[in-house]
Amino acid sequence: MEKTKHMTEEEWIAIARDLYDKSDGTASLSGHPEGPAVEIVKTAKEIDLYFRLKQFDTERAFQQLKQSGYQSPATRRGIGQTRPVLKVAAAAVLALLVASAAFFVGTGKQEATRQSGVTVDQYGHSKIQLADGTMVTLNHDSKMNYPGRFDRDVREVSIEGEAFFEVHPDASRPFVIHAGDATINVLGTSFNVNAYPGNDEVEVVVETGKVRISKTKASTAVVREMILDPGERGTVKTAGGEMQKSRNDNPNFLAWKTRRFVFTKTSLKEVMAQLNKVYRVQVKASDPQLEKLLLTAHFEDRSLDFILKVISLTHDLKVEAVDDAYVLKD
Amino acid sequence: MEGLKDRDLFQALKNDNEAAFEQLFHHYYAPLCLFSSRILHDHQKAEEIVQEVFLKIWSARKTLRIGSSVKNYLFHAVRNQSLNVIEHEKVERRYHEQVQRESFSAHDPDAFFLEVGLRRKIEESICALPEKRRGIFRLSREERLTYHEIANRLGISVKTVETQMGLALKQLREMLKDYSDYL
Repeated sequence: MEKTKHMTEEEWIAIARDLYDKSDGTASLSGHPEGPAVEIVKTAKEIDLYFRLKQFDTERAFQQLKQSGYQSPATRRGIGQTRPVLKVAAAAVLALLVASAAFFVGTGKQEATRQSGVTVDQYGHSKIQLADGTMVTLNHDSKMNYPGRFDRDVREVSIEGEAFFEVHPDASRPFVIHAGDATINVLGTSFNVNAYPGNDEVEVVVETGKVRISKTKASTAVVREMILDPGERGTVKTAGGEMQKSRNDNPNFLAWKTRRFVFTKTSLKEVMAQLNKVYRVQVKASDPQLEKLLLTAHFEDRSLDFILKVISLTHDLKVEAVDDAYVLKD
Repeated sequence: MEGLKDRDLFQALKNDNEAAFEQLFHHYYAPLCLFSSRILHDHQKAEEIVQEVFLKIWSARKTLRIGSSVKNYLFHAVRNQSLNVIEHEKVERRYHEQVQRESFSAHDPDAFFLEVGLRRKIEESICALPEKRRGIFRLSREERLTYHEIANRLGISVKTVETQMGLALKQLREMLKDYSDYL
């Protein structure tokens, strides 16, 4: 269309903004488009349709259909056993130090082990700054494999355990995390990954930005993926690889890192579970009935003793301490 | 591509021709998945449903009667199956940003197809964009971020995003107009 040749850059920017800067992601022009704009909208819709259709990997779906002898996906899901990727990874990392040391995955180059870029926070968690400026905080019993220098077109690491990522923005290179059977894809955002080998699922909770999770193993019918927004929680089951997305209803998902707790009419059962995880202790109640008691409180970086004291005062209970175990009783 | 060719493929399919089945699958899979995901708001389930429908067609190919339009048959089958799933499994209807309020009609199967040549041209055109501009364009169209979100994620100004998106649209339109307008 000749008409568009005479459009100024400003006009293009305005049309693009009208089409694309929408919170619901649709592409449409407000008001009535006229003249060259009609054709432009048509092209914009075609491009959007292209991206929509691209989400579905036809080739792969057919290959898997064929390889399974045209079996129904439901049957295949029951049959397919996903070999935990972590078992293989664990063997590779066994030889490496666990505590707070930095370690490398070889990218074909020999590089000296660097100690710089690794610190420990006040709770004993390793904080690692990666080559691109990304900050990763590792919970106890957690490990991360990462290169001293990232590739030019992608930044890849793998983790086992739990870690909080603050990914440095880099439009040219997606940040890819391998955690169990899940592949997590980001450009720049902050989120928590929970992928302990013993668990039956990998969990990701997003704090800011957007994260795409896809299943690594191709032993199920389709390559699944889901996109998480801030405040959302996604899980990938180890067996079967079922993916689920939900709003994160656990305000304490980062408590292991921040020691910040928010309890709103939370049952003592849940409170104790949180304390046990964060402080790595065994708090229990002498009587199951006590577990149903509710607690509403905020704790900002408090000691376990302080929190237990608050609980005991709130509900008129006594705290009995034996080694790492604490018992709440009437 | 529709009509006659589909009927021929379907005939071949009835005669156990797997290549014909594959062709039908390749042509209809993504559009049907998109169609189903609009009903279910769930990409995974949509893919499973479409695969089930194709499998049923394959296993019942000898006795299957499709009528005048393969396309209509497939869309009806997927639509019914999708509605069944909603009924019986109480599928959680999360509104993924990418399927919410699509700009094309839910009822017209043709709206879910992109002609093969055009698809290739779009792919080429996007790859031809300069790297930074391409990245921004993808964040907007593929990940459905607002300009503000893109600016935040990349650590650039909203003004830069606006400019890059405008230039991307201009470039893409220029590369695609000959193809798109005369199709």
